[in-house]
Amino acid sequence: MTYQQVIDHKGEMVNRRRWVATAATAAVLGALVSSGIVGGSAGARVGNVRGVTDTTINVAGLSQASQFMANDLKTGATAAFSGVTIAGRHINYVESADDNGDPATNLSQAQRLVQQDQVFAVVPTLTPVMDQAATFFAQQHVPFFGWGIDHGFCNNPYAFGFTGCIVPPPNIPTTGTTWGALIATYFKNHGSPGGAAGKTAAVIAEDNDTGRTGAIVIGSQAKKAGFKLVFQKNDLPATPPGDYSPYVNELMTSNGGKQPDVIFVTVSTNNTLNLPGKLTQAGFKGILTNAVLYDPRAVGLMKANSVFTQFDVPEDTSNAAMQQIVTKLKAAGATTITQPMLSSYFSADSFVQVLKKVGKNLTPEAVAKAMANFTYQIPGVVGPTKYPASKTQGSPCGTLVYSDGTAWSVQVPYACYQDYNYKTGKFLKY
Amino acid sequence: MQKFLNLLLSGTVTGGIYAIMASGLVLTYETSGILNFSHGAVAFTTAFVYYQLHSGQHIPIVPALIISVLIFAPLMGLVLDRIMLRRLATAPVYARIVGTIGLLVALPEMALWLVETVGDDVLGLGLPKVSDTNAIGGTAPGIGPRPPHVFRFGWLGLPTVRLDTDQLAVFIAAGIAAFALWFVVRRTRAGLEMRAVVDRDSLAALRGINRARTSATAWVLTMVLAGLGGVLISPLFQLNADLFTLIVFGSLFAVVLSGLRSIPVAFLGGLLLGVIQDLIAGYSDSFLPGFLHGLSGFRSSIPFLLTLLLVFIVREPASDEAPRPDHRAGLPAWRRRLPWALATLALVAFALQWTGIGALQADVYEQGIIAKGLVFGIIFLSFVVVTGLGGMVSLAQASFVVAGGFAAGWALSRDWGINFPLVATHGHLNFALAALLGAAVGAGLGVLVALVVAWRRLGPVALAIATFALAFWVEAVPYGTQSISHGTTGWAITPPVLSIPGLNWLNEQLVSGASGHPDFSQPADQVVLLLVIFGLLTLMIHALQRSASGRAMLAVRSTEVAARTAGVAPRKTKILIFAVSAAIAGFGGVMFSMVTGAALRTNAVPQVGLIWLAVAVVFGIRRPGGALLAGLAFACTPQIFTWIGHDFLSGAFGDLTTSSYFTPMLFGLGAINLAQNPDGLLALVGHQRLERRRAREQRAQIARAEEELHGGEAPAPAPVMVPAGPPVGDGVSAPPAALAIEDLAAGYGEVEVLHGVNLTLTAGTVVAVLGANGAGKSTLCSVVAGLLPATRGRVRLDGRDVTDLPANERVRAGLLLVPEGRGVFPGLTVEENLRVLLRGPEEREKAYRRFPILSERRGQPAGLLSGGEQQMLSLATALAQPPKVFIADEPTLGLAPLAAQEVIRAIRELRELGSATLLVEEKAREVMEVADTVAFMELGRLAWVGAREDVDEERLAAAYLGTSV
Repeated sequence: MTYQQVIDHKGEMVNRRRWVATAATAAVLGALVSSGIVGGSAGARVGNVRGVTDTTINVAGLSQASQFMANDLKTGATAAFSGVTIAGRHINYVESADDNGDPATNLSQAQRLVQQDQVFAVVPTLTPVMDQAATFFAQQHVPFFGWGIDHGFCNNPYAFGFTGCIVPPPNIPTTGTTWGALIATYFKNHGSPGGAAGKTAAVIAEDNDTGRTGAIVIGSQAKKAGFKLVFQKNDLPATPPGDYSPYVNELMTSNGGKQPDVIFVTVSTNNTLNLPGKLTQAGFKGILTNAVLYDPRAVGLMKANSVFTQFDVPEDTSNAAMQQIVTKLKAAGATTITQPMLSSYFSADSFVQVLKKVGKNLTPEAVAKAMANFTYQIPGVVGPTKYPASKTQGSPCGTLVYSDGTAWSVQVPYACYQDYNYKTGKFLKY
Repeated sequence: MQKFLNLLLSGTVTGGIYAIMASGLVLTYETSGILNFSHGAVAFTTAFVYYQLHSGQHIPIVPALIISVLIFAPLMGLVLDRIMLRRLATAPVYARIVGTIGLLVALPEMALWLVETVGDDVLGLGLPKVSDTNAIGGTAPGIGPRPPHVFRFGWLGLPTVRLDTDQLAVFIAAGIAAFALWFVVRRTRAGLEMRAVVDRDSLAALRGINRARTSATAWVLTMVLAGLGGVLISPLFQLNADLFTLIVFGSLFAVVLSGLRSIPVAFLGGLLLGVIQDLIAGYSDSFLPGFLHGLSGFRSSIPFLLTLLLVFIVREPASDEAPRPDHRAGLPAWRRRLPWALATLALVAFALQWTGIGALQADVYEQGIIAKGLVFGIIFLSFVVVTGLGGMVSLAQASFVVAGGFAAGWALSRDWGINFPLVATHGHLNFALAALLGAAVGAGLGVLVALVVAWRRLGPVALAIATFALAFWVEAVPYGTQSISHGTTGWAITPPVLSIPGLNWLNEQLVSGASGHPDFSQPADQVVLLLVIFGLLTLMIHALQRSASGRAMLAVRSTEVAARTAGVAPRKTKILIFAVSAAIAGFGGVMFSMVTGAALRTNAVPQVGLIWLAVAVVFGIRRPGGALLAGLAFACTPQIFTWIGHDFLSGAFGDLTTSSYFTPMLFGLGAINLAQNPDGLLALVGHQRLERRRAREQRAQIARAEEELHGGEAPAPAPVMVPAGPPVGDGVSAPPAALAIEDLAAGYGEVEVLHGVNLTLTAGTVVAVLGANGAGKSTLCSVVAGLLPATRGRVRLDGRDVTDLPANERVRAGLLLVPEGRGVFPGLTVEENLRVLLRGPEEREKAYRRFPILSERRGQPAGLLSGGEQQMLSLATALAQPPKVFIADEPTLGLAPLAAQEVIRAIRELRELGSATLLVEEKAREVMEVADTVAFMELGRLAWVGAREDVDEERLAAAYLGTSV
């Protein structure tokens, strides 16, 4: 072949390949284009019920293990399941899966639990990244019970949050007055009969979209509870800054150059570990409160902090129901009782209560039907969580606990307040 | 004013953290040419060791600090230098980047795996876990008191400033470290040698510098610095590798500000960054315009935005790198394709349940994993295009993936208000169009990046930094905006369902248990769709490689200047490559969202992009097959190890492989090992085969050539006249020759250039080697100096066999080569250039006396000198400290006649000082004035050697023309 022929030949080859590629592309695109969207199809199952035999019901837990440790999950669930038999079946806790805090991993773990391990339900789910898994669970008819710290718990027929839907998506602007009301109650009990009246509050959140919503919602709660809101910003970097001075200084002077009476620290764990300590260092005298770090191991770090929890705490020795749970958890091997462990217990316990309502003919659909209209409550400890209202609302209840640096104690006992729409300000029926 | 001073002071302290990290990054870059992405990982690992010693084993602060920072970190530096960093310094830029990314992934995971999984879960040693500290229990230990002591600054008139001991420790240590570093690099011998190596690697060896030792020193220093930084900052943050890495990336602003060179500037840049951040935090309300102020994430991402802006100002020269040979070159097409075809067939049979045998077919879950693997394969194809084909390292691919998903999600969720066949049904846009929109948006972003890259002609390291900063900024600001990301829920993406008669039938034949028509919410149908898409993209990439643009890209990579003169437009080509790659990534993002059900910003955060690149490199980034394997491996490996851990390892040993640290550790280690190889794992086998095939072909070729030339007889050696040495007295044995070259053969790769050269040099004489271009003169110099290994024959210096010594040791044995094109380090000053070999000040003074002009230019970088002055500088060293053997390769090339005369005069002086000189020249005229002996070189052999007097015109002419006499 001459040089020119080589060139021609190659050119022809390239052209032919191009033609093949174009034709193939066109064919597939054509096929795709001629379709309409029919929508996702539900997985229909035939034959036996997944994960259920005459004597056992298989379930597994799913959590972000760096925040909700696998062992805590297991202890909490085992404590609630041990000795329980429903219509001749006992509940078998298969494993605690970890999602690394990543939505894609969460979904893939959810798929593994259902499709390979064939669990009947996922109990407990303690993770803020389960939107896709929640959709998957609904499609595959997998009941899931947990702490509703993800949008996926809202308006999902297969979801049951033991405190309801507590972080609704932006299109459902519901929240409770609980946190603000608890602080107001504290003031009332400690020399300010007017409660929040005349008191000032500051809300700080992180510099991201979640933080922006957080600042708006918590700020509205504070106002609703009667505080004068003097500071409401989401400017703290989510990656902890090496130096908190600018943020400490703006908070310390937020009440017209003076300290506010209360600071709501609504930031993620990393920042909650640091910011309150810096504020105390700077001489903050008011109420410093967060909703993250109630934990026996953090008692030293949380010195002089008030933490809002959604349920009663083991330190409440006057509550027999709470102490009974403590006994059960210790029997299941707990040495220190943590918030994740309690959450796991409540998730598992609510599952047991719903199963009791369903009875012998156990199917996922029957569970969904039963929980659609169900109230979960351990008086004075958790709830009442009233479905169907809880599909879009959280239970407006909680406890305020305080650390003196060596031990946690109940500052304001467990009580329920009210839900409302934070956009319109209207109270909601619950 | 009070507020301003407050922020200034506290900002400086925050800046100390950036300063210490930035100084470390600049040190490694300056001394090894590697931008160390793993700096934060090293810091974390050292801090983790300190935490284990101090909090776990209750070892007091000082011994714990010494063990972790002064023993553990340097040892880690030595080991890493030995196993990877030394090799990386000479590897292509993308390999350098990927290698340290591998380290970034592997180091923390390995430390955590060894301590928490092996130590705690398996062996039950009861070591403290990092999660105990981070989730709840408080902060990691620092070197100060617990709880930290707080200092107030009322006495400075700043009553609201409070700094604790941990913060002050960072600030003070940063200052000390920066000064120590600057001192070591600028004022010590080790520092000079490090800078010389970076400046001109090959010349450093010719000046007696031991490259291996220099590299080890640099890395040990860096590791100590990173380790110290890690221990100091851990109480300020959490003991969390991701956070450490983020802080290091934040400090890139200071690194870029220093032009990747100056440690003091990097240090100040770090402080400045801290101040800027604090000032913005304090004053953003008053000066930021409303729309920026309301933008969440804007203030936190200022470091990345500043880095991004700065990258376009600081220039880094673009480098030329020819791609490595393809190990499959020359194989027939069917041989190349058959294994892939068979493997794909097996995969399809497994995934679509064709066999009917339980173990040999995937269940629904496994089908889902395979589908995800194929999605990753598609995403990794974008690396094949941008890095494999384009030779550029883009760290923003993850952003393109997210952008694609967002675009498609937005388009799909919108009611377009039209109902038009093939476009939209009841207002809902067709899925395929939305997927194409995703690709287009990805491509658009890619083009934006590429335009800037091409406009500023960014070098590879600058490109990596720019794309990385972009990825972080885009993630924080635009992707953090509700209207773009649709909140934390993201855009839900519903997989499409098709119903087309022919396709339905095909679907039923292919997919076992199909529902009658393709439903892409089903994993099996997803597998089919994704395989088809992967195949189409592969065809497209092959077409691109073979197209004019693909060839142009290869040309641009090999040498941009030459490509431009040949009419190739590098900018256009680079933009095209970037756009195609980003489009593939964007499309991959749509597929990712389809498989997982939603387009989320968390689908691909910038750090995940780094891991993706590492995984893609492990399996080869040159061909689509590598991307496919990498994708499948990335999706399946965790499942395989879960399976192994659950079913094969009993009890706690199962944790060994099911630990979440295990798989990333393996991928990281893989990337470290395979970073240099564009074909990754595949090439380990392939290259050996290629070598064997080449060796076979070469032997056959040589046999054929000899057959033709000599009718089968071996060639006779060329007659050589050995020049007479100085007269030798009776009965006294002759002193050994200063330099003896015996039957020397050498070459490059498979091409032998020198075919048995013999030459002897005596002290105090000058031998000139003349010959045409390409005769092998420079090769001879390189082999004698030790830059190129001899394949046969010996080199003796003063009777001592130095054939196996490296170049730097030959310098110590008394051999000095001034290579072609000046023997100076352009980036070092004149004084520093002399200092490399002339250690005593009196020797340097001697050099200055000989060339007074150099004395005037003492403090100037040698690169700024004129050609003649540079040649004086390279000769000055020899004149001040005459070597036994002096070799000069074309010393007068390109010099003005006067300067050339100066060179000849210097050589004459050297002869008088007793050096044996080998002078290699193409031009004969000047050389004939000084040479005692003249040798003519021709096609790798010395054709004639004799006294200068015996050279005649005819021979000279022949030497020029390269013809035999």
